[in-house]
Amino acid sequence: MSRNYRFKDFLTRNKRGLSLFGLLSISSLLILFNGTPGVAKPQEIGLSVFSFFQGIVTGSVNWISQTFNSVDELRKLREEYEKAKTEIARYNGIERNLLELKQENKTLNELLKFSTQIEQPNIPASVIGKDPSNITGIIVVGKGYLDGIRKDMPVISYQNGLFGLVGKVLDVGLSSSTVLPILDSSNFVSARFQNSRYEGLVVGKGINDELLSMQFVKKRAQSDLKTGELVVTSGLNSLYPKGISIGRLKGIKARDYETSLDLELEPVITFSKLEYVYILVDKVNP
Amino acid sequence: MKYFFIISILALMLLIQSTLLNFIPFFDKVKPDLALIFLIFVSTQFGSVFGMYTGFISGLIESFTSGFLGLHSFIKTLTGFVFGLGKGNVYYDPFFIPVIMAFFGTIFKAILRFVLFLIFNLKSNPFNEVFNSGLIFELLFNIIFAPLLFLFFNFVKKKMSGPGRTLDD
Repeated sequence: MSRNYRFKDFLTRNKRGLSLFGLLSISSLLILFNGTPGVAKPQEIGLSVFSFFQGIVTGSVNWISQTFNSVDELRKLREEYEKAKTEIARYNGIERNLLELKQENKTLNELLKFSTQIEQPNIPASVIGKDPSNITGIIVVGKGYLDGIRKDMPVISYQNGLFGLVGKVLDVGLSSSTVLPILDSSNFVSARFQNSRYEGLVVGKGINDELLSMQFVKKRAQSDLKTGELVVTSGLNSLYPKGISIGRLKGIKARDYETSLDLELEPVITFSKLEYVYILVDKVNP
Repeated sequence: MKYFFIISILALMLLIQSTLLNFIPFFDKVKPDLALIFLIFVSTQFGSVFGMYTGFISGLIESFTSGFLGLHSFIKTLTGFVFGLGKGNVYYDPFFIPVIMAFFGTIFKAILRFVLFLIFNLKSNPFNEVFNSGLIFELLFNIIFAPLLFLFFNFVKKKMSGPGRTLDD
């Protein structure tokens, strides 16, 4: 047998062992020469190739993760948006209330100023309700017995630069009272014209009309009366103190068979705009 | 074709190990050695020669990203050779044999690593570097993953083989 043949035979029969030895030797040499340029260069190339695929996988997973996070974040953002919308609506409500409060404060300050201007002692009160049946026009105010209110006390208010007559206290509760307005046909007020001084009796024509009727004015007064002339309380045999504005002359009706005029007055107080009133306290019997 | 397929799966296992498993907080510090489990499977299926070559390539690829070129190839080459000796000599059941192989494979890898650290003076304290709590976790993960991966690899092998062919050819 030739030497070559024996060598080849040896290699074939010990292929496994020789392969193992070869691979382990290569590995050992790589370990020994680790860090040297000869070994580092192939490692760098291998790293570049493998890390390229690592980058693709990591990038894909990050993209998927970010997508899911975005969806979740979108859901959270939507929830926060709805919450913010609710908060904004609430704050809008608060702002509206604040504006109203500011206006109320301003009005109350003005009322307080006016209250001190009235010579007669008075108790300011706010209108808290009205007759819902639209029959009597009764007004409910937020002051009552505990505040010093008593039945039949005159009630006035300030509008358009004038203190005008509202009515009288009808019923008194502990902390609220009802006021019978002058518009009511059962409420009679002794009155006179401010300029011409003619006297008469003012009575309401009903709350639907919002007009007053002045009766028993002498017929001769027709020539002296002018439209728009102010009518005030006369204070004669009356609950109401003298000099409180009631209304202005709107129309005159003179019937031949009657000895007095039937006059139509427009109240100085617009009852639909009534918010605050002053209840006049009797000086003698407070 | 066979070699290309096996190398591809090997690279895939290493890719999963080095990228996807990082996204799972559970595998934050210690990961299962999927490439080792695959190597053991390949070696036991195709023999020592195939096992050692597969191990060598696996070790090289692993070294590209973990450093110490040659270290992993040495370990994996020897592991592939040793487990390849079992081809035809061991009955492979779907659960216990993969678990036992994964166990001994991990221990064998750890011992080899320790010896190489010592011989080539690669670490100042090779014993603590190798035999620590991380080894216990890696052992646990490998044992858990081994039956599942063996099942998967067997399935893939059967699919690749097809009727009338074997991957051994």
